[in-house]
Amino acid sequence: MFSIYADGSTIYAGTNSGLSISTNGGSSWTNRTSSNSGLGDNNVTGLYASGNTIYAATNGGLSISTNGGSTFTNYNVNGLATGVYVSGNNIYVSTFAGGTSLAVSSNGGSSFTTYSTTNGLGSNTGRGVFVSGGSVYAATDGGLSIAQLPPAPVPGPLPLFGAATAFGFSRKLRRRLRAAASTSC
Amino acid sequence: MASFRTALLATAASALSLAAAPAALANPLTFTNKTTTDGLGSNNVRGVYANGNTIYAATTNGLSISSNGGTSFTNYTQANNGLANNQVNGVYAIGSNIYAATSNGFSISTNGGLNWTTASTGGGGAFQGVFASGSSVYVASQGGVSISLNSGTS
Repeated sequence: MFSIYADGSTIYAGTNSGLSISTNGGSSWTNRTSSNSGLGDNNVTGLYASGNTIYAATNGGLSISTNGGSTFTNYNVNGLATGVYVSGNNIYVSTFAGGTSLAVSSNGGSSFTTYSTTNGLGSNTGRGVFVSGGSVYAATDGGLSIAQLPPAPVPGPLPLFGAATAFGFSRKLRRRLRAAASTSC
Repeated sequence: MASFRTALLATAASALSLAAAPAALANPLTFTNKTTTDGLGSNNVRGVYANGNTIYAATTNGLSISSNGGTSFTNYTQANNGLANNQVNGVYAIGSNIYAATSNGFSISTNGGLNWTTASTGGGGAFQGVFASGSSVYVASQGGVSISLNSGTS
């Protein structure tokens, strides 16, 4: 057994023969595999879940289910996945054997940006990833690598300028409509 | 009419810039790497958990804890602190409880890592991972899943 996650009364256990899911606190389990649900590989090394959405790091990439594990879609993360964490819109996957040790997706897995020692990571063998308080923590076999997430985007002056112009226009328009209304009477 | 066109353009532009604002990682991440020089027990880090400025690193030579956002780490071991084994495969922390899944037992500390007790979890063998939520603790081992509903007491 490689990994474990829980969300409410649902427990997820990643093994070397699939992903076992219990929805009753561990009393009974359903095992999901590559053959019965499309899991990327039966070696499940890392897990994250929220509601019906399950993220499974496997030796075949990152597998995501949006129906509680019935079916999975598998995504390429450039190597074997060893761990997964989800924060906001971003999916973080620790990886190895592909020359990079972290893959990050901002679009639900459709595409990933990969990170390696070139970006300051301790090694290209990633063991796990965690995100907390605006920092990304990557466990590698060459150290613990920490990155600060960019601050939330601040709207530039353009939206304010646009709103002000629109407001000014609507004032003029109202005045004109009022004038038109009074002349037609 | 001219002002109408300006207004339309400006609102369209503002709508566009707002639409482009969701929390995508626009800038690439730049990492700073922490090693044994910073106090880690080993550079081979198998798992990590963080809460505020406190970082817990599961290493192959002890559990390393930083209380200053990673500037420095203190390493806790089997010999010095009673950890079940120096090979730590997973770590999780809730409140003052720290849970360490080691290759030869499941360890719990309630005083920041200074002292550890080995929980009787059943399952046995090497412990690969741990997850906790409230007082529920879930431990993955070669023997299966062990669940405690009282923070690891039983």
